[in-house]
Formats: sequence, C-alpha cells, structure tokens
Amino acid sequence: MPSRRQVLALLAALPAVLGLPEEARAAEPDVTAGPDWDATDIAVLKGVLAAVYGPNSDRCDAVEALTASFAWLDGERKALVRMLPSLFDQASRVLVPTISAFHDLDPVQQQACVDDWAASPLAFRRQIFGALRQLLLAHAYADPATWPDIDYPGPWLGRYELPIHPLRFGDPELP
Amino acid sequence: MIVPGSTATAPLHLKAQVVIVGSGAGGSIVAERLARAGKDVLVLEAGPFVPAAKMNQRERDMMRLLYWEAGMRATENGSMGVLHGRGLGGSTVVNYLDCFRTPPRLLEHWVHTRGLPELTPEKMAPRFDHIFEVLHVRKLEESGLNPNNRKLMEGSRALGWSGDTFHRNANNCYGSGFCDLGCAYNAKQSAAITFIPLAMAAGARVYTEVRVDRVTLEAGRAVGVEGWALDAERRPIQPVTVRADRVVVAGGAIETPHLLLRSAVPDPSGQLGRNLHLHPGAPVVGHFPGERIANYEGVKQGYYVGEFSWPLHGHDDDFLLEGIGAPPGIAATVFSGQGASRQATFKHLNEYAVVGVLLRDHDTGTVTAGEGRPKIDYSLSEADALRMKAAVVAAARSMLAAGARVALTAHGEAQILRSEADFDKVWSRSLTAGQMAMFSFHQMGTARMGDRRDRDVVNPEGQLWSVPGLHVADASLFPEASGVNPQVTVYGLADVVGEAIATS
Ligand SMILES: Cc1cc2nc3c(=O)[nH]c(=O)nc-3n(C[C@H](O)[C@H](O)[C@H](O)COP(=O)(O)OP(=O)(O)OC[C@H]3O[C@@H](n4cnc5c(N)ncnc54)[C@H](O)[C@@H]3O)c2cc1C
Repeated sequence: MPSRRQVLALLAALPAVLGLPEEARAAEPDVTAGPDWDATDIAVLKGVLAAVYGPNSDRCDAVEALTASFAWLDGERKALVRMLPSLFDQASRVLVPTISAFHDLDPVQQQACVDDWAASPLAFRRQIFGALRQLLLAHAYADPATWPDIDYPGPWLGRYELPIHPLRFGDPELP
Repeated sequence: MIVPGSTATAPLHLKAQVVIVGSGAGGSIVAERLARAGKDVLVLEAGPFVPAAKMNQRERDMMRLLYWEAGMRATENGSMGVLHGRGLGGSTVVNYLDCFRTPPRLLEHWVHTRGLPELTPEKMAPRFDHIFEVLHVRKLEESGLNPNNRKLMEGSRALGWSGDTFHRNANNCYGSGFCDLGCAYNAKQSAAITFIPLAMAAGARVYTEVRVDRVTLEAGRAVGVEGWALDAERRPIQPVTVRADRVVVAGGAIETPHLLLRSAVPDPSGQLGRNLHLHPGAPVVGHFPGERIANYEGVKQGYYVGEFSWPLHGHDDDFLLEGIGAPPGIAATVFSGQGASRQATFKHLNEYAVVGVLLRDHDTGTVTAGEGRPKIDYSLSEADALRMKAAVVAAARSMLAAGARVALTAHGEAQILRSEADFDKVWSRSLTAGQMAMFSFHQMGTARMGDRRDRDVVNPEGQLWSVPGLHVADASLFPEASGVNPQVTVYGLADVVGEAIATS
C-alpha cells in the first residue's frame, strides 16, 4: 500500500507520464485522478454521514456520489478535499477529548465527536467540519432514495408531459 | 454550427479578427454585436452546449455538467459557496432569470466616480431596450408568484416595505422551478439560445469544450490565445492556438482575472484580481406548519424587497431580500443541526418559505492564480457583517409578519426567532468564517473599468490600459457591486465594450 505522500507525488507526475506539455499541467495538474480514498477514509466519511444525516444514512449513496463528483474539482482543490477525511479522523484524536481516531469510535461516540466539531469555537475546525458536512449532505439529498423522507416529488420530467418550446433565434447546434 | 472540442482529433490552429473567451452574458453580446458589424468572430467556451432535451432536472448530473467544479467551488476559508456557470451561455443558463436594468443612481455614481461617460442612464437606455427585447424580458404578474414568494410579498407589505415582482427573461415559463439546473423547456432565454444563435446567424464561429489557458502577447500586444480542446471529462485532448487581431476575455469575474494573471499581462493599476465583490447571500427560513409552500416549485425567484437597497432607494443598509427556493441537495446544506434532530427539522421542507438576503458588499476580496485553479480569498468585513446582520433580521421580520411560527437562520447552530425579542441572537453572534451558510451567485469587479490607469484595470472602452488588443467584457468590469441581480448590467457593460471594438 503506497503512503499518501507517494500517492500525491504519483498524481502530480501523472500528466508528465501521459505526455501533456507544461501548459496543460499548470492548468489541471491531476485532472485524471480520483480521490483514492482508502478504506479508513471511506469509513470516516460514512461515519460523518451517519452522524450528520441521522437514521437510515445507509440508504443513500452520498459517499459514492461524492467520490464520483471529485473528478470535477479544479486542480489544487482536489488535494484539499482529498485530505478532508484523514484530517478529520486524526484531528478528532487531538482536538476532541478521545484517545481514538474518529473511525475507531462507536456510533454514539462518533455523534458526540461530530457535535463537538460543529460547535467548536475554533474557526478552522468549523470550516473543516462544515466542508465535509456540506459535501455529504448535498450529495445525500440529491439521491432519490432520500426524497420520500422529505416528501420531495423530484423532477417534473416524467411526471408532466410538457413540450420544449421552439427556439426564437434558431438552434445553435444546426448549421 | 457549434464545434465541440471533444471531437477534435488533431491540434486546432484557428484565425479570427476577434477571439472571445467565454460565451456567457458578456461574451455572447459582444459576439453578436461584432458579428453584426461584419467582424470575423470566434467564440471559445470551456464548457459544453447542453440543449434543453439534455437537462434532466437532477442535481448530480446538472451540477457536474453546468457549473465550474460541479458547484463545489468555495472561498479559501470555506465560508462561502461560489456558484459559477460553465457551458455555452455561462451562468445565464443556470440563473434565476431576474432582470434589473442597472439602477440610474448606480449608473450616475459610476459616471461621476469612475469617469465613465458612456454609462449615463440616457445612453444606456437603448442598450437595455435591445437586451430586454432579445431576452424577451417581461414583468411577472402577481398571480404568477408561488406560495414561497407570496409569503415574502405579504410579510413585507404588512411591514410597509416597498417591493415588486421581478422582470424575467422567460418565454412561456411553466414554473417547474429547476432554473438552477438549466431549463428543460427552453423557457429561460439564456445567452445560449439568444445572443449566441444571433451571433452565429451573423457569421460568428463557436467552439465549445475549449478552455483557454493563456493570452498570447507579442511586442506588448495581444495577438491570440492558447488552450486545450477538452473531452467530456474535461481532460485536455488537443492543443488549440488562435491568432487574432483582438482578444476579448469574458470568462466571468473569477476566471477572467485567473486567465489574465496566468498570462502575466502587464497591469499598471495593480488591481487585476482585486476588488472582488460576491454579493454574499444567506437564506432565512420561515416555518408555516400545515401549509404546503414547496419552495422548490413554481417561479423560484418572483418577488423582491427593494426598501433597503442603496441603488434602488438610497438606503445605507444596502441589501435586497428575494424569495428563493432550492432543490433538496442545496437546501439541506443551509439547515443546521446534526443527526435525528436535523432530520426532524428538514422533514418539514415543504412547509418552509425561504428568503434570500443579497448583500451589496462594500468591501472586497481577491482572486489569485493557484495551482490549476483560481484562489478566492474573501471574508466579510466587520462593516459588511453588520449590514448582513441587519439583512438577516429584516428577512426574519418579513417571515414573522407573514405569519411564520418561527424564522430560522442559517447559522451553524440555527437561531430560532419567534419575535422581535429574539433578534438579539442575530446581532450578538459573530459572522466570522463558517458561522453562517453563505453563497455567492454573483461575482463582480476583478478587472474594473474606469478612466485612471493607476486605479482601474481597463479603460472606459474595456481595453487593458497597457495591452493593446486585449479587452474584458464581463462582470469583472463592474466598478463596484451592482447591488441588484447583475445579468442585465453585464450585458449592458459588455455591449459598451463591443461597440467600442466595432467602431475602432
Ligand atoms: C445559480 C445562479 C443564479 C443567478 N441568478 C441570477 C438572476 O436571477 N439574475 C441576474 O441578473 N443574475 C443572476 N445570476 C448571475 C448572472 O448569471 C451572472 O452575473 C452573469 O451571467 C455573468 O456574466 P459573465 O459574462 O460575467 O459570466 P458568465 O455568464 O458566467 O460566462 C462566463 C463563461 O466563460 C466561460 N469561461 C471561463 N473561463 C474560460 C476559459 N478560460 N476558457 C473558455 N471559457 C471560459 C465559462 O465557462 C462561462 O461559460 C445568477 C448566477 C448563478 C450562478
């Protein structure tokens, strides 16, 4: 199993390996890379999701969807988002009065830990937690599996047959 | 016909009189004006063209397809989500269709403080007439308001505040409410189906999925651009080089300074990428138990309160209140709490009316070139935070006046406001980073226009002071935040630039 540092170095080198010139590298350094979250990262994400979402979080595929959305992030932001689970995991050990990393806590302890992050007086802790929370909840509620709980009927397409209006100035796709 | 970069099988070497980077509000109107004036125009757009038939009203698919960074872009401190459209038509494809002619007070202010004589209300009026005509702008009837916007109207009227229904660039809108995921019915008259086809009919060529990475300078003059044709996953597949007499950068107020900074263009003002205004927005929720509000359905933004706006009414608090709804993924992020108690609150989604605060930020942030992305540094200044609190309180007041049982704020720990006596909870809480969910739908000001080369990035005709042939034509031009929804102002200012190029 390569270390995180090795993985990051590898990712940074990928465009060169693929033969992309300097400009492309500068624009999107690891455009082909997924988050490469390991089993611990995934466990952390699922634990945070369970704590913020609440009961039945396993019904939705928020973690998988977030993993898929990752590809669309710009260069350096990928590195930041990639680090979020491990940062949260390890910092929980130091900053929340527990001796274990987040992924080793039981669900009740994980909930307490998450509540502690959410209410932290330290801005950087709120920011790390807030980013994780937003990413997970946004992906959770974009999943139709969560809609019955909130009585959200979903897209109109498929529910109502409404014609697409003709274009007033012609179709840009046509010659 | 549009040429998608994803179909490129060999390097693209193109020539044009004018190359335009970006096809949103600014880029599209410049393309139309210049093509109509007989110029050989080439438009390069980083995102794809997404026709109505491909808009599926699902957050996951459409956010990835239509937004920079799938809608996950944020300020460096994470305190504000920054939503910016990507694709033919830019942010006009995902916007809420509200149309404000730039308020005369603001135009006069810019004329006098920035030396911009072309921006008088009288000179701008015919431009706005043309824009309204092409975009099919009409005032929304009160009968067209959804229950969500109706609550804001009722509450604000009970308080005696002035407000109105929006003008909207809609043609036979069904009110499905998925505006921010693109219009599946071609009702929204975005740039992609108005100014772009008009430009194409006049001879402009349009390439989508081509991301420009550098403006090419020779002997101090802009002579073209370089970039990459992208595949559907946004991977660079073929290099693109363009030679042109003029380069117009219209990538929006985040990507334009990003591109110009990466291109190392000379900027005697030192202001390129500075003066970033974001119109910080925050939701305030009113709970109406037992009523079906379904804020995500119907005309999403239908009513606004202008009472506290400086551009509209000369008020120093300087904010707007606007009815707003959101699909559940976005909505979920603004409701606070965790676990079962959060679920218990969010379960009532259908009973919540939402008011969006739009703050005209007087202080600013910056865009710099990070590795592979623009870095957006922005925090609310103390003065702006104070006005933000005033705005949140006003929004809550409007919901309570409309009969809400409680108003909820988007603070990390939602403040539950039942009466005036509770408003202290808002005033006493700090708004430093991460304390309250905030969003930016409008980015402005990073290459501002004005008559002083030591203060302004571009001259009154939109040309960079020290780079002949290089122009800016998008929301970056704004000398300050507009304080009203900006798309018409973007079209208007870009048209000034387009005309200057056409006649020079
Ligand atoms: C969700 C949402 C709702 C909004 N609602 C309203 C509303 O109701 N009313 C209103 O007035 N305003 C609204 N706005 C704002 C309004 O749409 C924008 O202010 C306006 O479109 C900005 O115009 P622009 O030309 O500066 O940028 P955009 O319209 O964003 O266009 C910029 C284009 O340039 C492309 N581009 C950028 N960089 C490059 C590059 N390097 N190479 C190639 N292409 C590039 C982008 O992909 C994009 O398509 C909303 C915005 C959003 C995101």
